[in-house]
Amino acid sequence: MKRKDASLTGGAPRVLIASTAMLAFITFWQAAAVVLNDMGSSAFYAGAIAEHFIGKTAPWFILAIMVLSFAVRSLYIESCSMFVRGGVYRVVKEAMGSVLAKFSVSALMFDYILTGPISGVSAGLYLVGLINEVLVYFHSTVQLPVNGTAAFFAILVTIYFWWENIKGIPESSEKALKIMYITTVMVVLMLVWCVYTLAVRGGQIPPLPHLSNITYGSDALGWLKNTSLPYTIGLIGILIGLGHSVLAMSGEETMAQVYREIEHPKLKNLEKAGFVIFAYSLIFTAGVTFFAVMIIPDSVRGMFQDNLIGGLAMYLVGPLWARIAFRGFVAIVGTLMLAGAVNTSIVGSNGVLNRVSEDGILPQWFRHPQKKYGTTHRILNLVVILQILTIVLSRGDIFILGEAYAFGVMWSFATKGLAVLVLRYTHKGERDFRVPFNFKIAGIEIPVGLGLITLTLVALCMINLLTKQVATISGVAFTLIFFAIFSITERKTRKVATEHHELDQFNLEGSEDLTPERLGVRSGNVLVMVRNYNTLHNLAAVLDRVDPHKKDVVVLHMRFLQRTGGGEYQLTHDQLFSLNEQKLFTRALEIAEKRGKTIHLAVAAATDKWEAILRAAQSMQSSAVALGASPNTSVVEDARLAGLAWERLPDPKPQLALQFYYPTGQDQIFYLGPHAPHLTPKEIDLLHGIWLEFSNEVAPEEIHHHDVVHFALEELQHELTNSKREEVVARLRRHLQHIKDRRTPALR
Amino acid sequence: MRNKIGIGDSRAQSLNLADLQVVIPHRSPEQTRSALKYAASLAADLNVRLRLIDVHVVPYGIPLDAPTVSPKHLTRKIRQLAQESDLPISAEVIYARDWEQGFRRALAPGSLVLMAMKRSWWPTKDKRLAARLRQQGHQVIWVES
Repeated sequence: MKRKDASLTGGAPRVLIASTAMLAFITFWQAAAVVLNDMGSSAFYAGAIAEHFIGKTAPWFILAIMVLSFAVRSLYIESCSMFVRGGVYRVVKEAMGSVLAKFSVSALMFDYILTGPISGVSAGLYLVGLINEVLVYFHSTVQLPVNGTAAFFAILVTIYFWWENIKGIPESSEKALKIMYITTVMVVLMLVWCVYTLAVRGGQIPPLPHLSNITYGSDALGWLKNTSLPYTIGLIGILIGLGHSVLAMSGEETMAQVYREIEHPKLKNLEKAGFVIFAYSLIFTAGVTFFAVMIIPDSVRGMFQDNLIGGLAMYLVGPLWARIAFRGFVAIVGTLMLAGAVNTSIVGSNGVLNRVSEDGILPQWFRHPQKKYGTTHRILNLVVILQILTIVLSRGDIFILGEAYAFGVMWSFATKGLAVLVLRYTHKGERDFRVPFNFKIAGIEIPVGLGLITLTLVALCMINLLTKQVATISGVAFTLIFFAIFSITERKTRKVATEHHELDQFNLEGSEDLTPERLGVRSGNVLVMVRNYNTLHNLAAVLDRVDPHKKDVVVLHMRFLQRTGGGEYQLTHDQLFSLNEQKLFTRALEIAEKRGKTIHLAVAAATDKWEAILRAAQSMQSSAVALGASPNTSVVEDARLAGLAWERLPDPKPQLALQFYYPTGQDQIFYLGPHAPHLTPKEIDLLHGIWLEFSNEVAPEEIHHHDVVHFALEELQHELTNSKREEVVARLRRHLQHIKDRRTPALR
Repeated sequence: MRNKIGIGDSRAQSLNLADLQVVIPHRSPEQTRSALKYAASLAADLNVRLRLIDVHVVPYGIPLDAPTVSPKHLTRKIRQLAQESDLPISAEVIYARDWEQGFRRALAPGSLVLMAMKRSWWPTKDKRLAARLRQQGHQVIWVES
């Protein structure tokens, strides 16, 4: 740009373009795919583990857990409506303080660490099952040791993804979608084939979950083994059954992670994604478990408890080669999905530990960047060592891993539920979403729905504590060790931790001028002026109205300088982008993220308010400037000053809409430069009446409404240039006097 | 050579935005070096401004603005590559969930993109990317790396 802006230039750098991450908002389908990649992987083992512990009634419990997952979905939506970045740690910390937050994040870490081994071992079991089946098919007497080979495979997969993460080469999120396409093909094929098999052979619905029908496995009751409670009290029996089936909803926490990136309308899309996740996992996870019990004969089903879908494939109707081929397909899909879950667990653990390290509850030592790749190798090493240790200790036993995994899953859900419940009383303000069934008694809210969900989750945690000995001992030990590390570190680092760690970090790029090209926006954008992070209602109002596909939003902060000093020294980035600007832009980003819309940030130095704003709008080729109404001056006065500044702009002067927003949400618009008038309904009626009359008169000539306007204006101009001028002006005065009381204040 | 790199660097201000701008996506150091070498020959008689863009993909589960790869490391890496060339270069690191999406959003409409790719008779990933960028209205030139 050759043109220089007097108000915006003079020192260097005078304009900073602040960019944070390239947030590209995703559709609810993509969000659902990301969550399902994590959650759907549990379908490969959850049903089998449940049946191992509670027998043939397992499908009903899996079904019940899927229904519970729908309720837990509401819990996540409510917490996301309050905190855009609302993972367990953040929500629990807000609600119940840092001690419980550290406890919940320790449980979450246990969940993440266990996700890798259980997924890797499960993938290994599917592969070993297939290989052994093929060996039998070819009459070989050789059989691979199932658990040992699965454990070996899981270690290989874990090491592979450890190295990928060390190199900092993440798997593309597009792959999540592709894996879901393949999985969907497998699910549809399996459903159709299972239904056909049942139609040909018939089958029996699994026994209903009565106490008399529940057959507890030898390791299903833990410390309750020597009591009569599981056999006599129906509720306890049901809770034990559910407790052994909770793995079916593991991975739902991912919803909180993807929420930040879901496109507008954010909450509605999260609800849709939640429903897709629910429907898909209901059909897949519960469907697999039901079909397995109905199709695989009881006498052999025990052989396939470690790779249930593979076993299901072998007992469908059809030629053996087709069944083995389908089993191969199942093994490939399972390996893809479960190996993906191994990677997700490493990435997730790394993310959580990085987050808590930033928060000062894990030593900074862990965040040391790897020399060549810059990744947090110490955290990755710790995570992977713990995962490999878990695989070795479990010796590839999926049931031990499943028990332990359930501990982490349930406690992170339960603490989240408790936190959201507490927030109902500590943060009483309006939410965009509330878990349904709320009543008020004497002005006090009774959240029945939320309370019941939380109660169920806590009850399941309690029953698991009693029935899963290995999980309780290992989970409690792991959680306490992490909790202790977090607490000691926090105490040590409290003094040196900065109070501004919650603020976003921005990449700053110096520039001489503000142009659409520099900010990567289209002309016709909306320029939103921001000043105070507590009064960003103008940005919120603009984002509520603008369609980001059609118009870009540029958020500009002017750093005003004393006129005398304006051009006398150069501002450094630090001077132009201070803590105040960081807070301001962090808040602006929060508002934009909450609405799922992208904004572009810039800060510029200026001396004169209106001149700087209008010159910025001119160089940005903006179509509108949005400001907050000043409490000190009237908007009419501000508009007048803006008009004067507009006249001083260099040619060609732009047409601009000046929009003032009040905290109440009302707005007032002024137009600068030539613009199409806003016609009232009465004026449009008048125009239409004249057009109707003329169109009859001049037919068959073509005449439009704008022709009438054009003709009338030319007639008026003609009258102004001849002797009728004074008469016209007098008539105009009378007209203005007549309509004075009817003027709409919002439009000028 | 002064006024070369513009990562939060005030020296970038003296670049003339009206000049020809060529965007180079950073895929690997070898490919980037090939592209920069070609750009140097292209720029002999022209006032070319180069934008070297390194899109770093951050997986879901990790906030985009807090990647686990040290931003300083990525910046230093791209800065070192940019310094190997005598041309004025504005280098940027962009964090995105998807490489192509991040790169496309960094491009201004009708950008000129210079890609280095390996010779192949097959429609490689890079060739398909070039075709998609052309469909989006950008101009793509490629050199063999």
